[in-house]
Amino acid sequence: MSEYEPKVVCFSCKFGWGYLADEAILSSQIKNWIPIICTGKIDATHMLDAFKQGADGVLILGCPEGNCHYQDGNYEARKRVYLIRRLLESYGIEKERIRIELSTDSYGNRILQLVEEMSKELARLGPLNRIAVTGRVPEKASEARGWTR
Amino acid sequence: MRKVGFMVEAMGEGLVAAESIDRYLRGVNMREDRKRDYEGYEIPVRRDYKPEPIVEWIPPEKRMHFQLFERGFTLREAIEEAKRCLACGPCLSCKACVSIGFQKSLSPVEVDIEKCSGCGMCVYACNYYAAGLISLNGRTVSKTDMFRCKSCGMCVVACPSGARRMVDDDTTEKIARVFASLS
Repeated sequence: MSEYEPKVVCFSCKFGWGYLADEAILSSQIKNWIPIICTGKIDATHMLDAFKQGADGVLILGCPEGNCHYQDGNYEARKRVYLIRRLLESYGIEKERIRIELSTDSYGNRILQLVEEMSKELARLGPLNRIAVTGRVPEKASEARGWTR
Repeated sequence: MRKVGFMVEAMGEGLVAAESIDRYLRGVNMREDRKRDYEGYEIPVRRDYKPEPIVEWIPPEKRMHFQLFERGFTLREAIEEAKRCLACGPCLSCKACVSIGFQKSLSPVEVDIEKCSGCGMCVYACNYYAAGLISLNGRTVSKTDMFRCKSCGMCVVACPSGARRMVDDDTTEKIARVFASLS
């Protein structure tokens, strides 16, 4: 189990996170990082697709309450995460796999920190139950574990 | 709004409503043996769009002159008022977000009128009154006013039939690229 490394997809708002840093450098440091113009632009299907495509967790970084450049994108995102958490739970998936953080960090140092923090937490939970997500039994045994590749 | 939830739950609440109607028509106590679970949610905090300040008037007995009857602002109030965003300039004429590389371009929102059912969810989602409903060949479809649109993409996400699309926007491709690298 020691080699298991959870895959965390991180969406972050461009207006609050890492806008003073070089995007190319940050994206080379952070795996699966998607800077987006506003967290309100993240569709619920994007969040669920991440799990479908093989992510073990989704982390969304938005601006603090009342500081959204587009008025209430962070509110919309938080509402969406709240509903998806309930949806995941009803499918037997731990709700800790999706997280939203409303804060700000202009140099983006905390992004990596938060991703690593979440990875650690997910490593404790173990790999995502793929059968619950895709609704089918994996063909190969390696696919079932999802991480030995 | 009573709580944030799923549509199925809202349908289930129909039973509760039916019970209420029945009780009302029979003239029975509405609250007896019933528990109303309320699950509140904080209201969104919006930074801009503060209402204009209320201008105070001088009381009538002190108004016996031809000067202005409005009290006017104190220095602090005047500075606060000058800071208030009036949302006067359209994004089309600024495009600073494009020049600093935040947005690839100020993508216009395109509505597929074949898919659009005219439900008006986008009107609710838009914070800038850019999305609106128009009548086209006897059908109600939505349309975006580009002079108000800030290309945030919230209406695209809100659309239940996927009729809205942002032209020349690479976000979806970027997400797809990252997702493809996962497996």
